[in-house]
Amino acid sequence: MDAQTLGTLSPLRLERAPPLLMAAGLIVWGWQNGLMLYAVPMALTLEATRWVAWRWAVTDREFNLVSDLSSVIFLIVVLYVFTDKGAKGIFVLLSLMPFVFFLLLLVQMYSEAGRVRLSALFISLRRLDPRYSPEARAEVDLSLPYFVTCLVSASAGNRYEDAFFFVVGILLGVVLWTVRPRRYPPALWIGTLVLATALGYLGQVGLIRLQWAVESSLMQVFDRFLWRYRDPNRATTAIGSIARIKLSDRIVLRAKTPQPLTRALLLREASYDTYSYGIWSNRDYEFISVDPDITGTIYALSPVPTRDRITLSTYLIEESGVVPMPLGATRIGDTNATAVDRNSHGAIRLEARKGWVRYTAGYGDGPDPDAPPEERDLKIAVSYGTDFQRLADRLGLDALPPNLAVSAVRDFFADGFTYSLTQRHRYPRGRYLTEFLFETRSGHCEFFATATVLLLRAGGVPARYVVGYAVDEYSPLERQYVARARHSHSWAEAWVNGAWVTLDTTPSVWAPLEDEQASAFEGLFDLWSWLAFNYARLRTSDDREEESDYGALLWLLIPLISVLAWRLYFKERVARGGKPAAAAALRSRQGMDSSFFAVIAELERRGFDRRPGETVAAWMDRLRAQSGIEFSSEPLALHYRCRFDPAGLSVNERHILDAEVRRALTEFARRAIANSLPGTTSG
Amino acid sequence: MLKRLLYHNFRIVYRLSQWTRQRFTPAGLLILGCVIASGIFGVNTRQTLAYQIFALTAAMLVLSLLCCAWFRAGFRISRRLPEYGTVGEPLHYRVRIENRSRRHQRDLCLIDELHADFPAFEEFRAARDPEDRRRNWFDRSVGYPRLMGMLRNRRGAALAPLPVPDVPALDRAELDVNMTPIRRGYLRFEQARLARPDPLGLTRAIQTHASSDQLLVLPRLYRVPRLELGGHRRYQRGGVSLASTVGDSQEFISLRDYKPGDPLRAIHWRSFAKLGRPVVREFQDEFFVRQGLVLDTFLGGRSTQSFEEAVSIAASFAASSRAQDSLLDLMFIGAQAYRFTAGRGVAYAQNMLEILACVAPCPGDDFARLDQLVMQNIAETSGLICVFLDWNEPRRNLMQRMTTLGVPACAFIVTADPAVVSAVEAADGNGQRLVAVPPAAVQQTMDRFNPSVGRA
Amino acid sequence: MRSADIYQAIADNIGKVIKGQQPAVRRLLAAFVSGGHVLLEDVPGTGKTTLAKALARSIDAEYHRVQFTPDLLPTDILGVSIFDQRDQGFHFHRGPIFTSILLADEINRASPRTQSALLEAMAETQVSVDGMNYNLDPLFFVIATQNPIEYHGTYPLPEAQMDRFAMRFHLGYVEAENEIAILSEQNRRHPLDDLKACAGKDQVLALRRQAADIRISDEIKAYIVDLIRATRAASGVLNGASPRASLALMKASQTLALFDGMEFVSPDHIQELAVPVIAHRLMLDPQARFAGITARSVVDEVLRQVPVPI
Repeated sequence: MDAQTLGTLSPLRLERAPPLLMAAGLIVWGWQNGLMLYAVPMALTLEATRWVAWRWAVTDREFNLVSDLSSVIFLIVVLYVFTDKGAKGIFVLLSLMPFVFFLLLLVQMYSEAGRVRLSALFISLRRLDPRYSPEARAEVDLSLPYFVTCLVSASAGNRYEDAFFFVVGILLGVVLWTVRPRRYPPALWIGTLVLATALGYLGQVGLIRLQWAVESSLMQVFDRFLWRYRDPNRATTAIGSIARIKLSDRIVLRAKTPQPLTRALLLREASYDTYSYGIWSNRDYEFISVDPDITGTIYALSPVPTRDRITLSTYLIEESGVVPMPLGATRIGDTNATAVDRNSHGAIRLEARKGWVRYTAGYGDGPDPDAPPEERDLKIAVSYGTDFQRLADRLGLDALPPNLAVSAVRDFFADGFTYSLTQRHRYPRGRYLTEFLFETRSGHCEFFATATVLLLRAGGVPARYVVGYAVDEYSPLERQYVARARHSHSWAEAWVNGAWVTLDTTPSVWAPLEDEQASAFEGLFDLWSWLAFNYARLRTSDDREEESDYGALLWLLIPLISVLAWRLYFKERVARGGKPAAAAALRSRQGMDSSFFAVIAELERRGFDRRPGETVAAWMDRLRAQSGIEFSSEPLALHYRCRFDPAGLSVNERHILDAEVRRALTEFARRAIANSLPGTTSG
Repeated sequence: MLKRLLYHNFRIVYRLSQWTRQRFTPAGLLILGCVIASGIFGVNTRQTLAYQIFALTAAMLVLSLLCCAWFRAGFRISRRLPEYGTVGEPLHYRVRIENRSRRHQRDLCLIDELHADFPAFEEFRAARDPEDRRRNWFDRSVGYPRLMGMLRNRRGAALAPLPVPDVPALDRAELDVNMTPIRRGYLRFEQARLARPDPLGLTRAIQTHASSDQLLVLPRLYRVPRLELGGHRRYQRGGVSLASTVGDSQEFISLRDYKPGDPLRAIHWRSFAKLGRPVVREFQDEFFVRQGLVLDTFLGGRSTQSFEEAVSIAASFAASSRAQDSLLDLMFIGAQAYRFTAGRGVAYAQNMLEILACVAPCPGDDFARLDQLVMQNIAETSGLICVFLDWNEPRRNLMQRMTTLGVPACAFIVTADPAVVSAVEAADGNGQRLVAVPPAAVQQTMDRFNPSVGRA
Repeated sequence: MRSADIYQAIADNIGKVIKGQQPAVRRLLAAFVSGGHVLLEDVPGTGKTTLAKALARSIDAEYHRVQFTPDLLPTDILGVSIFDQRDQGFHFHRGPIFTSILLADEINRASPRTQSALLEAMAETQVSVDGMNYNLDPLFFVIATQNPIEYHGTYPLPEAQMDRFAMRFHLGYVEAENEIAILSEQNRRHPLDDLKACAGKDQVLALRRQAADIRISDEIKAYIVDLIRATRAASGVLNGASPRASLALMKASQTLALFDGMEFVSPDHIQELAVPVIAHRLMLDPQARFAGITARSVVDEVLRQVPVPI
């Protein structure tokens, strides 16, 4: 009979996860997401199958039911999370995945079959005829995929970056160890795994760098075309340019107030003191940093008590930028900025990582602590000097005390001036203001502001030009106030009795008129802007909003789960069979004390396996033929007599057998060393 | 046009899925899934830590694939196939793997595969798959499952990768492979693949061996009732040379005097004793039962599933007939008219099954040829079992003629068309049994069929 | 002479005529000495007749050959009572079955009635005709042959009847050098003609008695029974081997042990004879046959799986 090795092993498939691996996966998930309260009982329930014996005989229909239920749960969770969180919901969903599939795993672990049919998971397979489509009958063990899901869900927690990598590495290493091919020595496996881990570590560091590089180049493209920034030393006005002033609808600023605004709120970005041919400018005033308080989160700007606050978000395209602040700002808090600077002319500059910056500005009733006026705050350029002087004289501003002068200027502009965005006529350079003042009496806010400042200066009141935004529009989509590019505004501030006072002479109808400029596509652009804003917020991952309450979700699931439990409970519960029936009664076996067994054991230890149906003699023959192992036939014959001859061996023959065995063993050992026969260990 | 584009896409998709299934172990597929999932969620490295999982698992897979570039050990693979298989019955065959290298080989994996030509575009377009009814609209219109169904059918059986037991150096190992054929006819092997895993156990290095074999798969067999058609035994010309004597040979009709040359065995000794002179028995001619099994092979636009079930029904009758005391004639039209006889020492049932395994349908509907074949042999036929694919004028006429000639017949009409089914049920058999058999419920119909009811 | 030597002498004697078939000759002699009958299933021309003749010559025993044809009657085998006019009584003329060694050639070509006549006589070792019992030769040994390929005009033995044969095996074609040797030797005279006896019938009977004395341990008996029972549980088998098979296996193994000069049966003897003794007794599910399972494969599988005593 040929010596053959027979194998009738089952096809390769994914096996049950090793003990406690699923529990480890769940614990990691709970650890990362702060859901340990749920993870621990889930882990215990799943792993308890190793100690608890009873099982349910779950039919195909019941598996289908559980699978469908899991899909329904999944859909409900998806809907809830996305309506609550918006686009950010995808990561919340990721962190909830172990919940969604827990039921399916539970049923699998406690079922008799221990595996789930593919047709339960994929509806399209349920209707196929198994005669023609054998994959309808295929089964799968979900424990390892569930473990992987737990790991990927754990990554959504986004904490403990350094520890997470190695924890995942260790757990995956455990999984790989169980499927390790036996043909390689463990040292090779360990080496490969270590190499893979090292590569992975370098890879993940590389991925972070890669993302930064990609993002910064993207952002530069992004920023160049989408966002404006305020230069604290130079503001270009539209005075002197023909055509219709049209600033875009682009939302540049978002504001959230605790109470709704009763009227438009002015936000100041910077003030300038030198005007020349349509450009207001400053000397390069130094920015001085503002120190935060002890907590490190609040930057005090003025000692005036805070009456109200407003939370603003806007974009910085560089590492720092000037941001709009409410008038009378007292402090900045709750910001993702890393530093706050201010200059003497009221510009507040925040330093933050490029991108979206958010800050809460508190403001009060006091004046802005800008630097007191200097000579240039009274200076008017020569070309305008005469006209404004004339007007100032006409109004008698010199004689008036400053506050009355301010009122007089206000009254002057309130009477007979209209707001307009169009400049039709072309004038020589430097004539536009004069024409505005005396002829047309119509213009946009920059005209009004510039004229006001120059007029006040002509009347002997130091004044500066201020640019900023007017916040008035509430966006229901964003549930906060928005300021668009066309909401940018200019006004004047005058030095009255030792403090700077705001004077806005632009007719108040300007806002509605601006709104009429809204384009038809504003809604669409707003949506895009909102998405971009949220994307920007996501990127900086700085969401301090309250976590939504998931209690409502649980209430929805409880009735579903109780229905399922009721259905399964009232089905038969099949007790898992106890230990198999005791093995057949031991047959009497004679001669089991033959010393030849030592030879058999030695050969097996060296890796020469005997097939179950192979007699010792046939095995020896095979070994001789294949591996050249020689044994003298004497001990084998004696062993056979010892075992199979009812007459057995005499005492003398026993001694002979023992002696022969000893000799054979030593001979074998000697030859083994000489020929360096493989001493392969099993396993 | 769109279909052609889809078809080429499918080729690529199919190749890719085959490659993945062969190259990756189940653990490797799990890690691949992990790579994909963590890749999707890890795009933003600031939002989640999935990029770490991605980096780690991708590194494992890449390293694993690199380790699988080299597999050079010498092997020889041979198969020992059984004589036959039957559709729907699992069969086992042995694969012997000889290790020609000096290394003890472990953890090998055998990926045996049956050969199938990828369907050409025309065949894909013209294919009609009965399983399509159960698929959803998307699958039906796109056609990928249909294409896969065609490939599966061409292969004949599904073979999964199997682990190979350890093969010692210069020794061999044998492996039992299970497969369940899903169609009749010849199954062909062209090559076998042997794979070894990489150190991590995620991917496989594969070497391909040319090893061609073929195996004949007999049609699916159903339980069918014994049909006692109650026909008369007909005189069979050729008597003893055609089949051995049974029973009758002891019966003699007359005695006559011994003539020199008569075999001594024919002497009737009792009469000899009584009369004192040798007396010889005279034997009756051979009469026994000869049943006809008529198979309708004219597809004429009907579904191939009906044809397959018709072949299975014919095969079931052939397999269940007790060949000891009657003959069974199989008649069908292929490239020419075929009549094959089995039973009573002429041939075994399995020879008939071999023929049925290879029967191909005839296009068109030229029933007259089959009619002619049956009528040629009607004189010797005691009873007729017919398996038809339709119930129309020529077939009705054949049955009618059987009634006229007094030959009991039973017809099984395999059809899913409800109009034909109701026509069959409404038809008056004139004593002949007519049974409509829906292709999807053959076994139930056969179990319900009671042969004794309604005999002539 | 020692029994092992007797066996060796007979085997060598036969070996002069039948070349290259030592395992088959060994089995044949094991069946012969153990009192069972043999079914040779083989293609034509492999030397079955020569083998039977050689055996008969070697032990100086009577030998008859019956060619089974479809019209063979039971009386042609058993014998017939003929009325003798002189005595006015019936005399029983013995048929060819009354011999030591009977070669029943192509047993599957006879009708089932004739087959059963022979098989019953084999089982009962006596023939009953017309109310009288006639005993067969004490050394009565049947070698039946069957041609596995031809089916035209054959009645293969049903499995229930196969049980009566202790062993079934085949000779097969020999190796090339042996075939060349056959050509050389049988050029002028058939070696069978020169074959002389080397043992006597009584010596063979003595061997039979000695075989029954060979010791067999309980463990080996349990192994035999395990094998037989495993065949009943094997997949694809409708009816496994009966206790008759266990008996036949035991007896044949004892004989083999005797031939090898051992006083007890070893598991190797059991394994050597398992397939010839058991395979033909298994009734396979026809579906299994069409799925490629053969009786031989079932027994091979059982031999591999059932743990053998070491």
